[in-house]
Amino acid sequence: MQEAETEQVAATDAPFEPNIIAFCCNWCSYAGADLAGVSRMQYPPNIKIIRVMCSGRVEPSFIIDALESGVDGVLVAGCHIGDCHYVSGNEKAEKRAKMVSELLDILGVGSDRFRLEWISASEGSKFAEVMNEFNQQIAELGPNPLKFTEKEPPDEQAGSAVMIKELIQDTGAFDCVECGKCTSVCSVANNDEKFAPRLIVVKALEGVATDLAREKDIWSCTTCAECSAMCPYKVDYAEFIRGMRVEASMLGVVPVCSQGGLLHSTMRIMANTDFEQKRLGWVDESLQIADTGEVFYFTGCTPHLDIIFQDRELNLSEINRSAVKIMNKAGVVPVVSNGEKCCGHDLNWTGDEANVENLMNHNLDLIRKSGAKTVVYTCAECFRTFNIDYQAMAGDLEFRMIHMSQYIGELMDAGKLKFKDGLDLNVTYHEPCRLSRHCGIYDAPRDAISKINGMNLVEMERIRDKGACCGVSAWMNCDGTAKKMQIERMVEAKKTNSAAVLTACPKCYVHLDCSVRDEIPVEREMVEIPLKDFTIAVAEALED
Amino acid sequence: MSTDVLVIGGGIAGIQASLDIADKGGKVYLVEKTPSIGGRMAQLDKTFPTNDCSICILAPKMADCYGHPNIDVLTYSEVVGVDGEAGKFKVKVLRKARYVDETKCTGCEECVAKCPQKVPNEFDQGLGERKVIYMPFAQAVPRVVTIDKENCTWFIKEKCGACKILCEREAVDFDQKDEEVVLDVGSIIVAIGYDIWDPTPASEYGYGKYPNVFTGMEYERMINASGPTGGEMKRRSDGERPHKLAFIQCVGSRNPQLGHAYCCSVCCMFSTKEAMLAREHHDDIDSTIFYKDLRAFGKGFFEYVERAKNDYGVRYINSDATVQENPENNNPIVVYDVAGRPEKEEFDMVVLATTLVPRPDAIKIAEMLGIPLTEFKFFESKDRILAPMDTVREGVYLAGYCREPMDIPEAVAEASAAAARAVETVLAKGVTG
Ligand SMILES: Cc1cc2nc3c(=O)[nH]c(=O)nc-3n(C[C@H](O)[C@H](O)[C@H](O)COP(=O)(O)OP(=O)(O)OC[C@H]3O[C@@H](n4cnc5c(N)ncnc54)[C@H](O)[C@@H]3O)c2cc1C
Ligand code: SF4
Ligand code: SF4
Ligand code: SF4
Ligand code: SF4
Ligand code: SF4
Ligand code: SF4
Repeated sequence: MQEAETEQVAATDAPFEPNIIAFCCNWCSYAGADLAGVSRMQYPPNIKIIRVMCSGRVEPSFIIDALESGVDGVLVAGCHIGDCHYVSGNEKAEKRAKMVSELLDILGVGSDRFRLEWISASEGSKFAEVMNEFNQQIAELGPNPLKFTEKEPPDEQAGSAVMIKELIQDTGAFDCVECGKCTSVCSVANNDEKFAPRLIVVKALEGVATDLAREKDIWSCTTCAECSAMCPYKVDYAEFIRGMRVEASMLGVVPVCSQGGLLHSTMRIMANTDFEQKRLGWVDESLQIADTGEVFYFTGCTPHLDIIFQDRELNLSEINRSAVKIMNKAGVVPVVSNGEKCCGHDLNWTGDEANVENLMNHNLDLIRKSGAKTVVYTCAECFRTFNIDYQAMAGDLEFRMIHMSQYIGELMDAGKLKFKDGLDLNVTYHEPCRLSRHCGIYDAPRDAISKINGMNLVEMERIRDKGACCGVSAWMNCDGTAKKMQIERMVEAKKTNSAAVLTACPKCYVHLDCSVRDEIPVEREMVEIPLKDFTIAVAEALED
Repeated sequence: MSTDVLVIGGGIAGIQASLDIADKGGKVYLVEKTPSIGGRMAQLDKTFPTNDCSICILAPKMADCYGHPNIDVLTYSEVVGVDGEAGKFKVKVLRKARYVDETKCTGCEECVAKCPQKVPNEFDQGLGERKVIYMPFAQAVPRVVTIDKENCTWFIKEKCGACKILCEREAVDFDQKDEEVVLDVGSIIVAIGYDIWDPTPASEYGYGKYPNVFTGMEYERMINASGPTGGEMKRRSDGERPHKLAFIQCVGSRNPQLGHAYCCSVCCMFSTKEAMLAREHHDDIDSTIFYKDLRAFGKGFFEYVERAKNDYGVRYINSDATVQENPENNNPIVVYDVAGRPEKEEFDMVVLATTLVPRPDAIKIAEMLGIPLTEFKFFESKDRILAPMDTVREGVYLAGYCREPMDIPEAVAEASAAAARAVETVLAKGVTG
């Protein structure tokens, strides 16, 4: 509060001069800027131009990153449609701009801090006009509440032999007998010849892994815990890797996530602002939701993912609609809140504990204010984060946390859900590691599927504690290895000859779906099996 | 007061303890749960580290035991109650009806040939079949058949009766009843041995899922000339003989995650033995042993392993492993770790050295005797170092695998030690009381 007031005072003292970045394409807009300059047209000096070869080069992450870093407005300018020096770069830019605008709106940053313009080499005056206008617009909006924060200096202690030793003790890695069983089950090791899980522990034990900046392997692990499930000595490998990443984060050597850092940026923005978000776009009139009540439905970041991956038309929000629909059918009106924020899962698994704590405090406060006694999740990652990580940080939580599959089971047992007659559907089930190995929930989704009349579960080869990973976690290791793992999994799913493969985690869905879109190393028909979220499948089976 | 001794369990440990006491003039009751004494050792093909034929060295002892004037062998019997104290225990023993008169049956097995019902043979680890009226194995002692009531047509629907009609000695008696006898004894030796852990839940080894994955005991039965395959190794998938064998060690052992943090103490050696025997059967068989640590700690064991390596071409790889399958030929594929990298190798048969676990009966017996079990349900010694054969209860002693993992020579040594302790007690009580 104190700070905000002093800022206000400062703002009234000196007129606000927005800090604006303009990405201009080399061939049209930058030339336009040149012309404006040569022609001595006036435009605000506080606009900093960054020349790029094409507007299509401006990744969404550049824009979000700039805003996250405290820039007040971002402008992208390129050649008119049809004039692109590289044929269609500007069309790409247009699609991206739409995505970025939607993302800024849902986050509450507001799309009016961003603009895309077509300015040709001959439009010097247009250039000056646009700049003046945009500057005016941003000046009226006021300063970006997100402030540039100097990166904290690397923690001297981080990655030290002492810290690593502690980590080794805490995760049981000390008990490793080097039997190598983890290696034999690790999907990453089996697909990436540079990755050797056991050796990370061995190196750490021998004290040679302290150069975390060079330790690439800690980012290749998907933390799927397949290895821990098998390890005779229960070495908590996933937690060990997370701990190493916390150290790496303190040293400031965290690689960027896939999508060039965009995903993690949006999470950090949520962690550090109090904007009025717009996350409930998916709620339509057919759904009943409330502000307070017994049951809180924690929806997760599906709307954000729908925006970010809009070219893939994932429609992940259907998971949320289905969940509310199921609850409504059972006579439950859940609390669904626009104030909800990212659970922090991905930041947690990249070692950014401070921001996870921010997000946790916000979410816990929100749930407590709603008066809910039960919180339901459709995302395996949110579920894990609340159950394990929040409770580790904040102590035992007073409300009950259940995954949608467990909740559906309860509603079924209470006779509150009626299903269609005449269903005849074989489905298979992909185990989300966060739900299964991390939280021990193997049976709830299976039981629910089997209890629906006419829905039969056909199991894949690798299931339960050996269930194969979807290939990517925390957006950190989306690469060729991940693709191989995903294709392997889809081939396995297809082999069951089921009508669909059900997932119980939106992220698994995103990752598996991604794998079969590109060119694939196997015959297309070997992976042709529809992916569907578990909750959607249950909602579809409901009696009308 | 009684100076008699009760021995519970007729495996090698129980047999040895009984013989020791009986030879010195003591009277022994040997209570064995199954129809024959012999225990696990009777199932083994050869024994390390000498590669002696197991049953050949065991059978004479079994016969001695049964024929010994001082030993009363009560097979197909179980202890159901214990009262009293050292020097004057009253032990209730349930003698289950075998529906064959032990005094009349000569073991001619005419009835067995005619019995129409077949069930999996537990002595062969279910690999072969036996009849419902059966001799547990060729060298069984006593040489008397038993009817397995649960599966017998007569007891299910009062039909058949073929065995009764056929038996010239009129030994079959469907009216036989379970009987309870009370024994007065001065001390008790517990020697109920171990069970073989079913590795199905550890599905990473593929047992029960992939046909050509076997347990060590199944393998012992298979290579045994009197076993279900007449001594031939046969793949479950196609009956073919394997040429490339993999042995995986510590399956379920040394695994706190599965609840067996202990080392079985014999599997490193028996797998070495089994790999050597494979070569003895066919000199074109190559064996590979995947191990966590090779625990060849006994006298001559290291040399035994060296012999396996040098004379029998057994390959040792230091890694735990998991098993996949080549669906085309049902060949198991072993996945293991070489310097941190996963390697895959195809074999045509995999043998798992499954962990050996206490018998489920241990809990019941411990309760009856009022003695504690260890965290893994082995019987707890009074003092592991200085009084290993003793229990906290005076007059109750332990011997063999039911106390802790051990091999045959150790079980025999323990049996003699326990026998001495049991005799000391009855003598002391007999003199003073
Ligand atoms: C595959 C395999 C290979 C092996 N190879 C070798 C080898 O080569 N060399 C070697 O030295 N060791 C070997 N061993 C180990 C060896 O089998 C044991 O050390 C030995 O058999 C232990 O003898 P025991 O008398 O203690 O137990 P057991 O042989 O188990 O005898 C126990 C007896 O008690 C009976 N019993 C159980 N419960 C009750 C009850 N409630 N009431 C009455 N009776 C009961 C049982 O029926 C059984 O007859 C091998 C083990 C395995 C699994
Ligand atoms: S499975 Fe466990 S004990 Fe074995 S090498 Fe891996 S971490 Fe170590
Ligand atoms: S957590 Fe998963 S990816 Fe990481 S080492 Fe273990 S099995 Fe491999
Ligand atoms: S997306 Fe699914 S499988 Fe992948 S890490 Fe998350 S929960 Fe596990
Ligand atoms: S019961 Fe009769 S027929 Fe059968 S083995 Fe005994 S004596 Fe022979
Ligand atoms: S009566 Fe029973 S044991 Fe006798 S022959 Fe018939 S099935 Fe076999
Ligand atoms: S004897 Fe060998 S195989 Fe058996 S549990 Fe011990 S180390 Fe493992």
